[in-house]
Amino acid sequence: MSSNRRAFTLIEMLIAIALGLVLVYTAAAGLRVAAQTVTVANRLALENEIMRNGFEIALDEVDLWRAYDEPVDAMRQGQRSAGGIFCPFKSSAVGVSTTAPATSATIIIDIANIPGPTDSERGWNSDYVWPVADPRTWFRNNMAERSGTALHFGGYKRFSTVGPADATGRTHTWLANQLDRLVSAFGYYGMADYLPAGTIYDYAGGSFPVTGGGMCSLLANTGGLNFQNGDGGADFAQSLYRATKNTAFAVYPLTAATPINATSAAYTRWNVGQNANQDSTRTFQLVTSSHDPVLEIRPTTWPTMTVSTARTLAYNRFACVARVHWTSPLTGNTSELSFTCFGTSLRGARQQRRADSGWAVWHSADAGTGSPNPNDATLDNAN
Amino acid sequence: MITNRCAAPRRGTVLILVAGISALLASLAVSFLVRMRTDAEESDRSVRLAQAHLMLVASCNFIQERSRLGWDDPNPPAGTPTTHVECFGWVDIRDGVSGPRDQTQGPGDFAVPAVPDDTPTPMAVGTWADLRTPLATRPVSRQPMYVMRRPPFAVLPKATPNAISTTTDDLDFGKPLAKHCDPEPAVKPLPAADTPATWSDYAAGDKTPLPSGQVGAWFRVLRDGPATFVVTCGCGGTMGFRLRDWDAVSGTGAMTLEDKAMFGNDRDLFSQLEASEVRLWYRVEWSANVAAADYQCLQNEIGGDHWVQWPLNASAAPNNVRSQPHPTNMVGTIRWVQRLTNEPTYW
Repeated sequence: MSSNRRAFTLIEMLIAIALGLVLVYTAAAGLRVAAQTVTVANRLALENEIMRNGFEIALDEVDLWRAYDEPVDAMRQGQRSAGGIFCPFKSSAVGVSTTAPATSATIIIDIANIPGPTDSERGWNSDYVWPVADPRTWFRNNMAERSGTALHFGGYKRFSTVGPADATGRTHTWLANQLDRLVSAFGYYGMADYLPAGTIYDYAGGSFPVTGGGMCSLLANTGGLNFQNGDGGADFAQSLYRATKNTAFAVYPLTAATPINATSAAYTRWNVGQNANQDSTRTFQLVTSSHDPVLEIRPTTWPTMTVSTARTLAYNRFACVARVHWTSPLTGNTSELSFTCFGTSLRGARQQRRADSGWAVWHSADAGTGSPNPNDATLDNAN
Repeated sequence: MITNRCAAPRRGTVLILVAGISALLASLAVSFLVRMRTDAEESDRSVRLAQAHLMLVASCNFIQERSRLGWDDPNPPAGTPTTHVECFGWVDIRDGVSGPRDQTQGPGDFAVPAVPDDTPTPMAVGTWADLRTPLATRPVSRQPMYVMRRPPFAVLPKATPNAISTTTDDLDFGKPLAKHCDPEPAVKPLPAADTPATWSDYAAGDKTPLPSGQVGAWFRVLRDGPATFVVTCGCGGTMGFRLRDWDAVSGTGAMTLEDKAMFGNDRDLFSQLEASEVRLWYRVEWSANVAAADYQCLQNEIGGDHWVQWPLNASAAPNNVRSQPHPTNMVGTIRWVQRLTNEPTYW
């Protein structure tokens, strides 16, 4: 007796198998795409997380300057020696400045033995606020005074000169001493960081005496120093804008891609803007940008990341550029987040640091209003 | 029946397959969404950190502007001075004495710091700037910086036309009269005349938060010296209040009932908001020194006599005489900024 159940025909089997394969393939492809999507999402999430961490590290670096001086690591405090930008103010011997400062920058500022508020005051006093009410801090005569002019509108030597004396037989050395001591200790960036806006970076006399009017300062582009760039002619009183027009000064991180001697480079003037070219710009970036790898020990599938900051002064503006740079090991794609940020200044960074090591604790005791906690001595007021 | 016997297991298999694949896809979708949400939550801290940093700029602007500026009240209450309150710096530029002081204060007198505080009334005296108050009890100036519908003293960000009449019969023909104030107050509708009501509207603003606003950033400023300030920059939900302020019954900084009502009178909620905030502490110093003394508008540099000075807008003048690019500002500068690595005693 034959059964009522009949088998599939070969055609039916072939069609069923083909359709089944299509279905299986479609399902497998869908799963594969879904899995890849999850993988990509995880990778992007990882990159985003690393980027976020890098962003936060960069923001901290903007405020803490650890690429330039690490308070808790004595091996990374290379700029605390004399002439370095983190050298402490100490009660070391210092002479009255009446001549050009040493280009080797070996003078440490003496703040403990500063005389009273007289014109012969020398050195830097961190407690002095440079009020505009003090006539030593401003000059309202003819800013265009040049060598050999008739001085119809007053003479700069009455304001600041280390000699020869003006018509009254006096020298006016206060501003000259401020400039001299600061530039000797810190170099150009540090000097400009400490001095208030509107400071005139000139004084007459010294090794470059002038007759009649005219600025012939110790900071001019003579005598081995290189602060004034000569723009517009350098024989009249200038402030920071003209000295940094098309030129820049910088601080130099310990971890630059191309490290240089920070102490000697503190007196280097860099061409930027219209005076620069591709090579000089790249060199400037390499020596002024820190290069700090993050997560050096990590799975090989994780992106590599570096965080860098560059602190420069150009066109009368202090700029801090932070960069977060990461590269995917899978795709090879590189990405960078760069931004400028306003944060701790050089002087603020020096005040953050204890003179010996570690971070300085600040509790507002200096306000003299009975704070129960003392403030630590810092690089700015160490004895 | 035989056919049914064969079809039933097939339908079950398909169901199992479809259910399995669906569950797989659903789990992938859920894990993807969870990952995205986690990323968003983790990004929130970065956003708050960035906004807190931005508050450093805002606080420095605040310190600069409050060093010298004051505002006129066209309809002052009886007995109050009508003179424009213009100050002379945190350290008075006239004699170096701690300020700010207005024109009427004699040298060496710090009796009345003429600084408006953060109340809507611009002429109010700001006790937070009074150095005579011991630091432990000295008030701070708290500035919530969430996006308001219309901030106090808001002006319209546009130029106000003051057209010169070209009608010859007009009495004002050809006269460049500034009949409309510039900038215009952002009071809607624009006031037809200065009245106490329109002034108060202008001064108070509409502080209703915009729904599209981000989590509120804020800053607090404590004056701890003649020209030095402790600045706290934050981003979170507390609007710059502290739990200490919540618990204080009275005295400096104590939150009012209206303040607490903004947080639903829920101390636990406020405590959670405070715990999840980003806070950064800074010290800054203000200086009366302003723009650089460089000039760009004197004939000197192109060889002429040094006393020849061109107008400030002489960019198009012959011989490349350029205009002064750095006009002096009226509010001083910030000399240095220091991020504090510890929470200070007072802030």
